[in-house]
Amino acid sequence: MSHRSKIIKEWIEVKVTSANSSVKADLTVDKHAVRILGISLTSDFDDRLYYRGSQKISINGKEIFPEGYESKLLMQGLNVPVNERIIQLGEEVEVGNRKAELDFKDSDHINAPFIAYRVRLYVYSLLTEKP
Amino acid sequence: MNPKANYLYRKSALVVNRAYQKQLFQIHHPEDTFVLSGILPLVRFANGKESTRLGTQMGVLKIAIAESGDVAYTTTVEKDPNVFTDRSEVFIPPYNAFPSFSFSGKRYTYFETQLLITQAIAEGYYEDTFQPSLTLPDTGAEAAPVPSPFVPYQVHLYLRYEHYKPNA
Repeated sequence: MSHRSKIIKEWIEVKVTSANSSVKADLTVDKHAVRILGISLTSDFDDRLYYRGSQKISINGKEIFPEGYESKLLMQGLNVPVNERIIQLGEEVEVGNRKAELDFKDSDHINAPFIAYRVRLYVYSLLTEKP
Repeated sequence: MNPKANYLYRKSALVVNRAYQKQLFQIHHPEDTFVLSGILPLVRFANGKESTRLGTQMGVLKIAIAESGDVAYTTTVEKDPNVFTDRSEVFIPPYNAFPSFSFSGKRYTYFETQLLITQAIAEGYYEDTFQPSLTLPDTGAEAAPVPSPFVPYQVHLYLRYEHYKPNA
């Protein structure tokens, strides 16, 4: 029995360098992935991401999270068990063209003055199961 | 959840411009979806400037099935504390020198449901239940209390659907 993890972890990173700006990035999911399990969102300044962030996330050309979907709904902290930190996308998300796209938007918030921060979108996919 | 389904998330926003405003709205379901599986209403003030009102209740939200008019979901919409730090753990009785310890990163959860989608739209209704908080002016004991002003806000309605796989 192999103890090797069958979950591929990849990420897209964007840097937000000016207030109220939008940044885009995309990722090509590993060619050995058979389906996408879920995503998660982190930042080096989590409170900025929590208050200021919103994004659109598309996978395989399908808009999974619409424009304006607040980042705080995709975040989790230490009070969430490690194995529950993946936001699941359903049972079987097809990899299709293997494109995962992030369209991130920063917006002013009174609780979080702007400083430059980075945002990472992690994409978790399942490795090909060989017989 | 149906084993052949994926999640799809959608968001719509209701603008509430005046106190006690009542409004009807429609929710257009995305194509190829068969179940509305999660509902999450959140209150958002412009630029984070919150109003002062009595209590945390902002209004009442109802979602009904079109034509039949059956109310499938109803809730009181509460003001989101909107704090990054999740202080829920302070309910644990303090037993050490750090009684107010907390974790960062509250996780929002959807109201779980299984509302079958048989029509293209659903009907929605929102009613604001503004109750001003009263403050006594410091000009004299005989002056009347001053009610807090109403601050416009938006109700962001997040919906989670299940939709079929293209090849299912």
